[in-house]
Amino acid sequence: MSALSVRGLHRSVGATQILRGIDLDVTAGEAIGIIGPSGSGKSSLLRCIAGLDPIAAGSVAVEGRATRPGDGAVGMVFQQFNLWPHLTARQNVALALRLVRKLPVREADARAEAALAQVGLAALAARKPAALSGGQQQRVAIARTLAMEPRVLLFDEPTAALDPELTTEVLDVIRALAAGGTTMLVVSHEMGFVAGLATRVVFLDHGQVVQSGPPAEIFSQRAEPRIQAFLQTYLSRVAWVQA
Amino acid sequence: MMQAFIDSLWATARGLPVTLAIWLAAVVAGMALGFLVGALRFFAPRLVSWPLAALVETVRGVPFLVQCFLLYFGGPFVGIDLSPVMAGFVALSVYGAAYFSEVFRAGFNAVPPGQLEAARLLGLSRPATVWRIMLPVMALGVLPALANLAVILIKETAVLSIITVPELTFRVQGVGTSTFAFAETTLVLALVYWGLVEATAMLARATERRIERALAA
Amino acid sequence: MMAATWATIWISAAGIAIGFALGVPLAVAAQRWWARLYISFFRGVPLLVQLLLAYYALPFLGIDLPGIVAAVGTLGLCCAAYMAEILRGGFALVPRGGLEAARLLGLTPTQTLLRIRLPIAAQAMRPALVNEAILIIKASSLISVVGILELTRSAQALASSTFEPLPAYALCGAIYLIINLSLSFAARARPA
Repeated sequence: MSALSVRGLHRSVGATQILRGIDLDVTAGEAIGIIGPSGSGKSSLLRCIAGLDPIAAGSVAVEGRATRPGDGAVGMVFQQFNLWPHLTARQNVALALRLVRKLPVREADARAEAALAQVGLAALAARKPAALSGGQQQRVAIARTLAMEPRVLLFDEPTAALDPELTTEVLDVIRALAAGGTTMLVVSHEMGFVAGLATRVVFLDHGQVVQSGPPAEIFSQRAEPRIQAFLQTYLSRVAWVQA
Repeated sequence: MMQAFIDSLWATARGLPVTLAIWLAAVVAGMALGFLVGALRFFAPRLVSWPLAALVETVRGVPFLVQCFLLYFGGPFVGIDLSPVMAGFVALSVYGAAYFSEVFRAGFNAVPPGQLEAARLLGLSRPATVWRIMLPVMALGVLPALANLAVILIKETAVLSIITVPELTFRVQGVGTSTFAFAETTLVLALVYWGLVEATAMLARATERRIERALAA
Repeated sequence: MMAATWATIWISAAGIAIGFALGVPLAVAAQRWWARLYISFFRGVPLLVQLLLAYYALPFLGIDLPGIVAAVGTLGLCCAAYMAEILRGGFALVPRGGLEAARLLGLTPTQTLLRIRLPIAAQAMRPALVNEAILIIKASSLISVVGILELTRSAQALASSTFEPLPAYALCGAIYLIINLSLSFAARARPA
């Protein structure tokens, strides 16, 4: 049985079709990189898997069961972190452990500290989000999701809102999680990172999977022309920025 | 002339407690009712929220004086026979609630949706999300507006003198009527309100800063 | 009541016009002590008490104005304090660069104020200005107290002659509501 199974997933907003029939099977321990031009439906796919956006047709199942938001099957890390500004890092992580998992305060705090330690932030547990850098905030958000032990972890452009020098610390955390066997789907524009991290890369365009395969295949001359074109503009843009 | 000032101060001493009591009661009741209406307008289905919106717009679109007349003089015709003080309290509470509800609704709207999605994904229940996330996040934002409204309501209490509530304006103007020293009494009245409003505004700002510091720490 | 409605409308319009005209210099001078004192006083004292001052205290000082002038004047002076606060907030939103550009191009301070700062601020502050206009229309009901025939006064007269206050005040309230709703709809409908 696959950890995550997406079947014939459709989503539309008004007359616009955002996703048109996505099929995706993810085995436990896999790290799936999702790439594609903006507007191709990458974020929508993650949001539908998480249950945040309604789906028009098709199904999403985690370990064979349909999911709904909040059941703990799927965790998601957002581009904008979405930490709660009035709570400290520890409280951000511990809140759901206490209210949803019904853990006693002490145990919830201990688990929160452990999750923060896992992302290298044990020392900053008492700080509020405003007193943390963007990279640190994103790591707290990862810890908050990790502490609930989801079966599948979704990353929606986790470094897109960060200054370039702060992306490394976040990417390192995600790499460590993947190496530890966490099942994950990562939407990212950091092509080098995706190539190094993913066991499989999925290229989306206009709401459909154009091609999916190991990084060596997607990031090569053998890939679909559309993918090569996308990577080409991507590379030239990077080169232009560097020049 | 000196006598008129002394009489005015004496009238102030009698009227001010009434003004303050009605104001405080109306702020508390208005804020509670306003919170309820604001929350319903944000969370309840349209069948509930639309009539509430119409009600709020009506209360905000009609002069407070006319609302006082409606309740105090018109009320007895539909079985609502209130004393001046009760009518004043009810009218001021309802008037305040309409404005307070708008502040709370704006506060709910201002909570970033992503923070609520995070709560939903982590499995927090609706009440827990409102209580633990929305209220604290919006609290800082709505605080200045709430304080500002409370100060505005102090000034509205003067209107209650017209429906014979024995508050500050009514008492001090009473001295004017009996002594014809209207210039003196009105001057005292203006200075007392000015001081009261400035003092309350200062207190509100100090409280705000304190709460801000407590929440930011 | 029709005539009284028009009275309310023109009295409010005059008050708002005076308020805006005085509010601009007040907003520019907002940091000066006299501007602060003015704003603090007119925002700190209930309008009803301000009206009573104009009626009772001014004649005592030898200034005897016709009732309607005193009423409209008070409404305008009070409105100016609120306008100043709104415009000050609006001025703060005008980008510095725009003002510096105007200065470098040789515009006088008055030209800069009228042609650059005010239009930009008014644009940003339109909802607040409309709000203030509605507050003044409602506040104009208070001048019924000093005996000027406007909407609220006419409703009082109707109520006491028919002995039916409920329909009289309900009609009066409905007219205010229609005026205010039309104003806010008109403001919202006109493209920004």
